[in-house]
Amino acid sequence: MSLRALHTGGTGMQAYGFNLDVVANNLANAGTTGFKRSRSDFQDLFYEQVKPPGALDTNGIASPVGVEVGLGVRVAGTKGDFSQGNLVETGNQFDLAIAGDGFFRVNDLATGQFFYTRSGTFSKNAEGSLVMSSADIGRPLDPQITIPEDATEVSISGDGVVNVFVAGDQTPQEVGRIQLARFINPAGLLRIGETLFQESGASGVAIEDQPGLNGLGQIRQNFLENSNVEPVRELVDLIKTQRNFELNGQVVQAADQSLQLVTNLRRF
Amino acid sequence: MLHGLYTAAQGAAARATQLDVVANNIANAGTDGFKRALALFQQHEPFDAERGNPFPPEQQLLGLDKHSGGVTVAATVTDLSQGPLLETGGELDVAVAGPGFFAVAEAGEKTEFLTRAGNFTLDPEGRLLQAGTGLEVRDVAGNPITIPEDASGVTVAPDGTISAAFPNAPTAAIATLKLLTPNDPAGLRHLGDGRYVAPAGTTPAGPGVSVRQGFLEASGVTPVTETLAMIEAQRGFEANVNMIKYQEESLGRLLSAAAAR
Repeated sequence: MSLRALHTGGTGMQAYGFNLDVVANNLANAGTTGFKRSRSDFQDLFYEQVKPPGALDTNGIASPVGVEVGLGVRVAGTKGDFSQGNLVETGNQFDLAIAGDGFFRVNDLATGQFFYTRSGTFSKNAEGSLVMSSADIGRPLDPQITIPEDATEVSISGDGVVNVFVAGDQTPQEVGRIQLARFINPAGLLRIGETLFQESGASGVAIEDQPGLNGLGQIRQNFLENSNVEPVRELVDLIKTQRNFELNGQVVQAADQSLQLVTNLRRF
Repeated sequence: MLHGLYTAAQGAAARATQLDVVANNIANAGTDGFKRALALFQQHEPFDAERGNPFPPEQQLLGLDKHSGGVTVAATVTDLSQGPLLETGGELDVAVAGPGFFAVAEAGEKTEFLTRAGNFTLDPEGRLLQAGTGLEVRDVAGNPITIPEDASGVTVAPDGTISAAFPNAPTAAIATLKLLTPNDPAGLRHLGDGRYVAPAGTTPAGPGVSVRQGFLEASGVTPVTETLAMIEAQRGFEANVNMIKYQEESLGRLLSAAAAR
């Protein structure tokens, strides 16, 4: 009966409504440093085999094609797009961007967990350690880098070596090395907000190494990585999603009207 | 017996199934790799009211007692025409151009399913999986494909060859995607999740089939066609229900006229 169409239209509205949420979040974060866009992947649901292909008719002849009705759509998953965002120069010496694959590892002191981020907006805390800037909590970079009090200039090389110059001394001193981590399946990382990602069973374990080695990207000092959201793509997605939602609404209406006709069939 | 009442009910039921098929098409207007389905109608064998069926049409009585048989949904066929290729830029997004399918399977299983949805991803061991279903993508030899841990810059050539760059080594081929063409495209069965099985078997895809990295094949559903089909199904349903109503009313009038005598 057209109740199938009613529910099928319903699954469509639900799925495209969900996609609207995903696109809205992408657009809202079009200016968020280190943000990686996500995308919904859709899948058709189960098929009801009304008459399987090959069923025999009254004359014993196998029908070449069957009758099957699909029962709608679902969101199969949201997949992160980890493509490189544009690098913008900021001139701030603690702004770091990764050109290529990899994440900075930060230590969440409140929980003792390690998180991964591509948002390289670092600053010094009261102890001189490099921490990921956040108004709520400072998460130190791991392995920890501490900038001496008397440092006048900090230089961070592409392969992560942090050198400082102290007043009255012309030779740079190495105070630490920044390491990067990469994952076999970054799309499997858990998003926990604040542009942080967490290792999960799907991502694989972090492979840590010196920047530039083992497939890892290089560090660029004085740069930040822009969000990889492309407004044009998102707007096209937005239009498509909204129209698909409307179309499915039409299906629900058509099924509803058909049902109404049936209920009005018998009048007393 | 009011034969027309049942004929109209059959018509309404067939149109309702058509609406269901259209509804599924529209619900999947954004599903990558989806192929639209089409309900085909067929007239029933004429019904011999006096002697009943079964009689071959040529032996049936002619005249007023012979009714046409009504309608039924004979088949749903899948429109396998090429969907538009959508640029995503994803390294592991692969679209098929031409009449071919990827082969995917449950881990360790021999049975391969066909799919056009090339949104692939990796598992923690580096195996190439279809995102969403988690099915393994198979290579030409029927084995799962594993991208080594230290590989970077994965590229997929139009013939399905996957290669990657390795540290301190030249770019090397890892595997070749298995591409299949069903022997009987019309006989494909939908399993949902973008998967099909080919009861009539498959053959390796010919040179007319190629893949494109960084693209996905968008759904083959065109909203205009489906909206027209939806209107047609709904109005066809309405017309049949109206026929039921008219016949019911005429029967009612007949009965009340008879009672008045």
